[in-house]
Amino acid sequence: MLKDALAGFRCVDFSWVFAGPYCGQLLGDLGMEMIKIECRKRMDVVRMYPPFAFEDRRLNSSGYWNTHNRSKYSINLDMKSEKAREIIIRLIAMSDVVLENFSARGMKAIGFDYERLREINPRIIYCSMAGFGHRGPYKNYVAYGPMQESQAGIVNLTGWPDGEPSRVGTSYPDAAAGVSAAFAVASALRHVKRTGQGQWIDLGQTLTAAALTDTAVIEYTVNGTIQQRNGDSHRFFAPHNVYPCSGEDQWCAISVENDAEFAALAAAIGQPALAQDALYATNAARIQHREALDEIISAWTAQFDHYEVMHRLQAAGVAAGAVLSTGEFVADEHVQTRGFMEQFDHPVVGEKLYPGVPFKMSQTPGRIHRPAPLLGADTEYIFKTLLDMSDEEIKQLDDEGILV
Amino acid sequence: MAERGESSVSRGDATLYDDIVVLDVSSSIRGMHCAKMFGDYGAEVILVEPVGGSAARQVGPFAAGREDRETSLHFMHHNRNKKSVALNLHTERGQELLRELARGADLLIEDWPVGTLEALGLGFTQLHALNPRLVVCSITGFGQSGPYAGYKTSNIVEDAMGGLMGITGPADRPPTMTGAQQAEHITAMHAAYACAAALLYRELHDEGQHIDVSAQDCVASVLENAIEQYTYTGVVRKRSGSRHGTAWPCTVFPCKDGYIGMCCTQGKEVRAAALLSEDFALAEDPVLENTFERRSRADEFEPRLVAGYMKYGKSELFHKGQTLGCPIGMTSDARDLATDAHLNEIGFFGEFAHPVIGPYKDIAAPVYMTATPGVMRSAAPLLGQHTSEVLSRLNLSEAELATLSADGII
Repeated sequence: MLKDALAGFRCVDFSWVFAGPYCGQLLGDLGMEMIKIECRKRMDVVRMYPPFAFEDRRLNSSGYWNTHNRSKYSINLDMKSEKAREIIIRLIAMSDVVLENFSARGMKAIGFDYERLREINPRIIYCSMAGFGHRGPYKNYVAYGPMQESQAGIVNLTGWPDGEPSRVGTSYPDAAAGVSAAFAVASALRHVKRTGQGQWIDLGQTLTAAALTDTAVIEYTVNGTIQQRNGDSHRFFAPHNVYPCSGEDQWCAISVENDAEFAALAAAIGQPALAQDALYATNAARIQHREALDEIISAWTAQFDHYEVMHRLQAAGVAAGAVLSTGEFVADEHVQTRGFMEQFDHPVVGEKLYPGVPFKMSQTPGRIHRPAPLLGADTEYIFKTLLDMSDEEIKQLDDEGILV
Repeated sequence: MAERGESSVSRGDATLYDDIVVLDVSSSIRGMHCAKMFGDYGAEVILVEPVGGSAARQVGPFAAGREDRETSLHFMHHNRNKKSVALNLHTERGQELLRELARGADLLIEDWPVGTLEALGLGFTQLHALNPRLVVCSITGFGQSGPYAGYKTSNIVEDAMGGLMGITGPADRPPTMTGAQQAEHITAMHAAYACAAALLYRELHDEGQHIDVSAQDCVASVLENAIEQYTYTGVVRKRSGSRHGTAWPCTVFPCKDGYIGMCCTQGKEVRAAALLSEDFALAEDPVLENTFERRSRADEFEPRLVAGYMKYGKSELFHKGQTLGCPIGMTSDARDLATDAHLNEIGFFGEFAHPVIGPYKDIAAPVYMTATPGVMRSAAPLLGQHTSEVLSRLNLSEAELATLSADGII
C-alpha cells in the first residue's frame, strides 16, 4: 500500500481562488484530508472561471477549479448561520490545520480569528494568506496576484529593456504563496508534534513573492544599484537568449556560462573556430558582442525544429530547452515517461489529464487522491463519518437551509 | 504594533528546525534557496563547497569594486545563516568525510548532474545505507529519470521547458524569461515543501527517503489554468502581454514616474480604477458592471485610464487607489522594496554583518510564523570558515586537519 507523508492530518479549508487552493492541492496530494467549506450562496468563484469542459459553462466543469481542488472533500455550509458555526467548531476541534486566504478582515467576519481558533483547539495550525498579511500599514489593502506581482518587484524585472515591464504569464504570486504556505504548514505540523505548540502562520502573499526577487534588494542595499529588466539576456553570461527555429513562432532557449560550454556550442553549430575568435573567446568578449553572436547562432537554429536544436545541443553538453507550448508540454516524451501528467475521471467532465505532483518522494510518493469534488458532494459523508450524524440530523440541517 | 488578536499570540523563542542538520551540497539557486529556507527557520545548514569555493561565488552581482570569492552578492543572498565547509569530494578521503557528516545529518540537498554523486559513492542509496533516517533531496532541471535526465539546465531553459516562457511577454516579441530567475526559485520552494513533509513523516515513522525534484515539472505546476485550457478545450495559450485573459482592467499601466499593476474583478473595483484616473464619466458608466463587455472594450477604455494615471506618480496612485478600493500595486523596483513602509514595519528585512562587506540589509524569512519566527543569525560564511569546527565533530585531531589541508582535501 502506498504511504502518504501527510496521512492522518486534517485541514478545514476556507480558501478560494488560487493561492489557498494551490496550498491545499499540495497538502492534499501528499495525503492530508482537506475539507473545503463552501456553499451555493458563496462558492469558490473559480468554479465559474475558464476553461470549461462544455460550452454552457456549467457548474463543476471548470478546469481551473478542478485542477487545484483535486484531493479534497467539499461540504456545503452557510457560514452565516449559527448552526453552521457550531459544526465548524466541531470540525476544527478534530483538525490539525485551518487554511484561508481571505482579506485580513475575512475570518473575523465569520467569527474565527486566531484567538477563537485557539480556544477551540490549542494545537491548531492556523494559516492565513492575506494579500499583505495581518500586520502593518497595508494590512487592509486589497490585493490579488496579478497586482501583487507588480508590488513585489517581479514585474519590473520581467520584460524588455526597451519596452514596458511585463507580468509573468500566470497569477504567479498566488502560486508562490501557495507553495510557501505548504512549506510553513508542514513545518508547523512537525513543530506541534514535537512540542505541542500550535501557531498562527501569518503569510502575506505579496511578501512571499517579493522574497523571490533574488539579488534585487541586496544589490540595492550594498551597491545602491537598481536592477533593470533584461529581456532574455543575462547580465553576466553570453550567449543567453531564445533563438528562432524553423517552425512558426518556434524558439529554443540556449544559455552558456563558461568557455568550455561555448566551445561545445561553437562545434555543435559547425563553427568551432568561434571559440578561438577574439570576439567570442571569453565571456567578457561574448557579452560585448552578444548581438552579433546571437545572429550567428540564430542562422543555425533557424534551420531546425526547436526540439532538434535542443537535442543536438544537449548532446554536445550545452544547456538548451525548446520553448514548449502547453500542448507540446503535455505530449512531451520526457514528461510522459516521468508520468507527471495524471489522468483522472471526474463525474461531470470525464477523463482528463492534469499536472500531477512536481516531485517524486521514494517512500511517500504523493498523487492525485481523488477528483475535484462537485460542490457539496461530501457533506453527508463527512457529517456521518467525522461528526457521527444520523440521516435525520442531516436532513434537518438541510431543511433549515444550512447545507445550501 | 498592538493589534488586537496579535497580543495574544504566543511568541516563543522556539525555532522550527533547531534540531535539524542540513548538508547543502548545491551551487544553484534551486538548491541553495531550498537549503536557505531551513536555515532561515533555525536549522544548522552546512554548505559543503569545493576547496576552491562554490561555483556560486563566481556569479555576479558583486559588491561594487571588489570582485573576489567573498564578495558575490548572489552567493551572499542565497547562503546566509549557513556554515561553510570546504571539502574536495573528488578525493576518497573527502568522500569519506562527507559520508561521516551524512551519518549525523538529517537532510542533504544536492543539485549535481544525475548520477555524479552516486559515482563518488555519495548517492542516496549509499548514504541511506549509512543513515536510514536521512532525507536526500535531489533538485535538477528534469529529474532523476526519463530521456532528458542528463540534460543541462538553467533558469531560461526551465522557463522554456516548463511552459511558462511561451505564455510570458508581449505577443510581438520573443517568449520572455521571468525576471529574477523565477523558475529556479519556484523549484526551490517546491523542494523545500517536499523536504518539510519528508522531515515530518520521518518524525512520525523514523524513516528517511529520496526526493526527486524536477524544475520542469515545478514550473509546469504553477501555470494556473494554462495546461487545463489545453486539456479541456484544445486551445494552446499564446503570450499576450500583461493583460489578463478575462478580468479587466487587470494589467500593467504606465504612470508619471513608472508603472502600476492593477487587477479589478468586480464592478466597484473597476469604478474605483476610473475614479483614480479622474475619469468621472467612465466611473458612472453602467457598462463597467458587465465583466465581458468592459473587457471587450479594453482598447477603448485603457487610453482614458492611462491619461489620468500619467498625471501622478506610482506611490501616490497606489495609496490613493487602495483608499478608493481599487486593487492596485505599484511596479516596485529594488529601492521601492527596500524603503517600503509596510515591508520594513513587519520585519520583511533582516540586518546582516559580513566580515568583508560590512553591515547590510536583505530579505529575511518570507513567512511570519508567530510561534517560530525566522532567525537571521549570520551573513553568508567565508569559504571554509567552519571547516575545523564542523570536522572536529568527527573526532579529527588538529594534526589530522592540518594534514587534510596540506593534501588539498579540506
